[in-house]
Amino acid sequence: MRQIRAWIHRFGGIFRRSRREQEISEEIESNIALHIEDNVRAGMSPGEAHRRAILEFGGIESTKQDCRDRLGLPFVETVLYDLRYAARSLARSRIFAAAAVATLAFGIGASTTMFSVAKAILLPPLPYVHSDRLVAIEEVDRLKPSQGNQVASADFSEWQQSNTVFSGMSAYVGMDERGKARYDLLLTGNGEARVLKGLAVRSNLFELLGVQPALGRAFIEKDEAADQTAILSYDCWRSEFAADPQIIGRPIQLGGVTRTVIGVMPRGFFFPNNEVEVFVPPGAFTPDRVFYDEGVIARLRPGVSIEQARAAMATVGARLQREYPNTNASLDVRTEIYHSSLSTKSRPAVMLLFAAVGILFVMVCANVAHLQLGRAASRVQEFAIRKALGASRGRLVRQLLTEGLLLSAAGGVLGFALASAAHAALQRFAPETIPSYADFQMDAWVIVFNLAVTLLAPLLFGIGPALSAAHPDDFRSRGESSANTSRRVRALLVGGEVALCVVLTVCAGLLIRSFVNLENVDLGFRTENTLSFRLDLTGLVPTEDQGAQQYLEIENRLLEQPGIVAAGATARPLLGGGAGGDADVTIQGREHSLRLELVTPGYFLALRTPLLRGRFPNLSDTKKSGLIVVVNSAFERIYFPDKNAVGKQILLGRWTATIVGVVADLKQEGIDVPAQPAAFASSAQISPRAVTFIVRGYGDRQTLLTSARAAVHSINKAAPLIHVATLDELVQASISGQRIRTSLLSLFAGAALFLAALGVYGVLAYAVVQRSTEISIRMALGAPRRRLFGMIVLDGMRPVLTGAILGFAGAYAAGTLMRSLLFGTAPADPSTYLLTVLILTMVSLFACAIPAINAIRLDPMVSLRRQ
Amino acid sequence: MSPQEKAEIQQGTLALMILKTLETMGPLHGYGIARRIEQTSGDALAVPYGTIYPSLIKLEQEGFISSSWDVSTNKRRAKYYELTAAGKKRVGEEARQWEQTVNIMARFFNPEKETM
Repeated sequence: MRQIRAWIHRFGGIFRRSRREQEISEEIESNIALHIEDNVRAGMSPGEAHRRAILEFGGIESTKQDCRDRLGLPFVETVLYDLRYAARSLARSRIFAAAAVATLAFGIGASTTMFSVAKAILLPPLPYVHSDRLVAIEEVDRLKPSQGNQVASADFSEWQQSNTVFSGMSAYVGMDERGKARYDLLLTGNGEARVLKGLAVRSNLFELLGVQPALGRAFIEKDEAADQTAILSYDCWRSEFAADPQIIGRPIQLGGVTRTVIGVMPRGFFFPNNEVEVFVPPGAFTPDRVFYDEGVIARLRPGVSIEQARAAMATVGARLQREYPNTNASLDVRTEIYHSSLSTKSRPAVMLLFAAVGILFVMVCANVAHLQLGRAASRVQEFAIRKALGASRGRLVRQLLTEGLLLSAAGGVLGFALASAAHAALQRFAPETIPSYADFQMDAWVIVFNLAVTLLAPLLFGIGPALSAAHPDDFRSRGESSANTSRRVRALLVGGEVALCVVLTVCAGLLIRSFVNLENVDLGFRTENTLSFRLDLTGLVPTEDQGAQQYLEIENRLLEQPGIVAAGATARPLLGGGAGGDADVTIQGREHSLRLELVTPGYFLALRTPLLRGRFPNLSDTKKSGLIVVVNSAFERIYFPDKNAVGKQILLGRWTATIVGVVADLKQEGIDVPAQPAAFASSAQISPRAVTFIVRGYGDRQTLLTSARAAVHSINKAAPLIHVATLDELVQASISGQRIRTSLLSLFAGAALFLAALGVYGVLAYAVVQRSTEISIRMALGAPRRRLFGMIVLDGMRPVLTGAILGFAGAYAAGTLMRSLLFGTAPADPSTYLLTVLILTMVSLFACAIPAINAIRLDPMVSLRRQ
Repeated sequence: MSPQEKAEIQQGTLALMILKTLETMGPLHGYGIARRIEQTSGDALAVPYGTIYPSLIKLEQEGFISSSWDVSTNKRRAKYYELTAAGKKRVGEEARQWEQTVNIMARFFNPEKETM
C-alpha cells in the first residue's frame, strides 16, 4: 500500500517539477544557514563555520539530484523527454515523417484488416458447449474429389450402430456443398407468404450441441417421424412472429404442412450458420445410399482423442466398403474437428492473403528503415555532438527507437482507421466473401493485434538504423565508415524487398491468370439477357403432380409475355452448389450414382445450351408416354464412348428410360468444377417439388421481372418469386471469392512493386550523392556520360538481380503451395514468370534511371569545389 | 575518532533513525534531525547532512511524516517534519523488529550465552 502511495506521489511529481525543486533548494539553503549559525555559536570564525557546514552537508548538487530522482520517476521522465525530442525532430523533417507514417499506416492497416478477416473465418466462436470436442464426419469420394462430402443416411445409421468413440452422433439435412442453407420452406398464413431457410435435424442435435431452447422444448424422438413440429431461431421468432411470448404451441403453415412451434432457440445460437431460421424434424424415411445430403456432427466421448475417433471411423468405413461395394467402394470417411472443418474450403485463400499481408508488412518496415537510414546519414553531426556531450550509445539508440515508436504509433492509429474503413467496405460491398458462420467484428482481439503490430514495427525498421547511427566510430570518422555500413545494409534491404515483391507479383499473376481462365470457361449456356427465379408451390397446391402441371402452365404463360423469347425450368438450381439429388442410375447393367435433373421442355432453349444429338424434352413427353432422358456430353463420353447413346435404355431406380438426346456439358455445380455426367428427365413425367425458372428476353432486369411475376401470378396468386437474379449475377457470385482474392493480391503486389521501386530508387539516389566526388573526377577525366550512366544503373540493378533470383525461387515454392487456388494454370506458368521479369525490369530500370540522370547532369567543377 | 573508523550507515536504518528522532524530539527541521542523529550516535556515524533529504522525501511520499514551513527559534525559515499517525505506528513496529533482529544477532555473536 505504502509503495503504491509513494509511486502515485512520484508520478504526480513529474508534473510539479519546478516548484518542488525550488523548495528543495530552499530547504538545503536553510539547512546550511542553520548549520553556519550553530558553528558560529560554537566559536568558529565565519569563514570556518561556512566551510565546515558545506563540508558536513556532503555534495549539494548530488543531494539535489538524489532528491529529484526521488521526487519523480526518472525512467518515465526520460521517455517523456525522448518523446518530446522525437516529436520536435520529426516536425523538422515533415516529408520524412509523412512518408514513413503513410507507409506504416498502409502496412498496419492492411495487416489489421486481414487479421480481422482471418480471425472471423478461421477462429469463429461457436455457441455450443465444449465446441472443441465436436467433430464433423464426411464421406469423400476418391473418384470424384470435386463433389460434395455429405453422407448417405444409410451409412450414417451404420456409423451410429457401430459407434464406440462418440458420446453422441447427429445428422442434419439442408445445407449445400458450399455451406449455404438450401432448404426453402414456404411460410404461409402469416401475412405475405415468405420463404424461411430450414434445416431438418435429428432430435438429439441440440442435446449434442449442449444448447436448450430459450422457450419451449427441444425435439424428442417421437417428433422425428411425425414431422409436425418446428423450432424457430431467435431472429426468426423476432422478425416473423414479433417475439410473441405465446408462440409455443401455436400452429404455423410451413412448406405446405401444419406444424406446431415447440421451441425458440436462445439469442446468438446458430447451427450450422445464421442463415437457418427454422429447425424441423427429418420426417419418416428409409435410410438409403442414393442421396448424399446429410451433414454429420458428433461429440467425442470423454478421454477419446480425435486420432482415436479417426481410426475407429476409418475401420467402420472400410467395413462398409466391403459390405456395399456398389456404392461405397470409393468412399473414404473423413473425421475432423468440427471447428476446423468449417474453414477447410476458405483456409487456403485466407492463409495466402494473410501471408501476402505479412510480406507487405515486412516490406513496409524495410522501406521505413530506408527512410531512417537516409535520414540518419544527414544526422551524423547531430549524433556526434550529442555523443561528445556525453550521451551514451544506449541513450542514442533509445532516442532513435523512441522516434520509431512515435512514427509507428501514428501509423498504427491511422492504420486502425484504415482497417475499420476496409472492414465496413468489405461488409457492405462483398458480404459473400465472409462465410455466414463467421463473426466478423472489430473486437478487442483486433485491437490487441493492431497494438502488437504497432509495437513490432519499430523493432523491425528501427533496430538496424538505430544501431548503425549510434555506431561508436561515427565521431572519429565523421560518418564515412557508417555511410559504407549503411549502404551495405540498404543494398541487403533492397535485395530482400525485391525478392518478396517478386513472390507477391508471381502469386498475383497466377491468380489473375486463373481468374481469366475461369471467366472464359465454356459454361454450356449463355448468361446475357436472362433472369432466374425459384418457385416453390409446396403447400399452395394439393399434390406435387398438380404443382408440376402448374409449372408447365407458368412456362407457357411466360412465353406469351411480350419481350420474353424463351423460358424453362429445372428442379435443381443452376450454380447452386452440387448438393442433394444424385440418383441411382443403371447403365448397361452397372449401377452409378449421378446427377439427375427434372427439366421442362423449354429449359435448354432458355439456356441456349447446344443440342449435340437427338432431341430436347418436349410436350409429347407425358405421364402416359414412355420415360425419356436427355444426357450431357460427359455422360456420353464416359458411358457411351462410341457416341451412340441416343436410343439406348437406362434404369432410373426401377424405371426404364430411353435416352432421346445429348446436350453440351453445362457447368451446373460451379464454374471451376469439371462437368460431371448428368441425366435430365422431363418434369412432366417425374414431378418436381420446386423449380428454378430461367427466362430469356429483351429489356432490363426489372422489365423481365415484371413480366415474369405477371405470368406466375396469373397461374398462382400466392406464389412468391424467390432468389431472383440474372445468370450473369449468379456466375459472378459463384466466382466472387476468386475475384476478391485476386484483386486483393493484385493490390498487394502493386503496393509491393511500388515499395520495392522506392527502395531501389532511394538506395541509388543516396549512393549517387555519396559518390558525387568520384563521379565528378571521372567526368573531369573524360569518362563519357553514357558509360557513367550505365555504370550507375548497373550499380543500382545489382541488388535487384540478386533479389529477383531469390524471389523467383520463393515464388515457385509459393506457387506450389497455392496450387489448390489455381485454375487452368500450372504453379510454374512460364508466361506469368516472364511478365513478372518484364514488369520488374521496367520498374527497377525506371527507379535507377532517375538518380543516374541526376548524376550525369552534375557539373564536375561545382561538385569538386564543394569538397 | 578518525573518519575511516566511522561506520557507514546501513541501508534502511536511516529511515528508522529519522522516525525515532521525530518521535523523541517532536517536529524538527532537516538540519535538526541530521544533527540529532549525529549526536545520538556519539559521532560514531558518518552521515553527511545531505543524505537525509532523499529519505525525508521518501518517508513523506509514503505518508509516515508530514512537513510544513515554519520559523525556527532563531528567526530562520525552515521546513519542519512531524510524525503522522501512520508514522507513530511504524516506529513502534520497526523498533520491535529491530530489537528482535538485535537479539538474534547477539545470540550468534555470543554463543556461550546459549542455553543447552
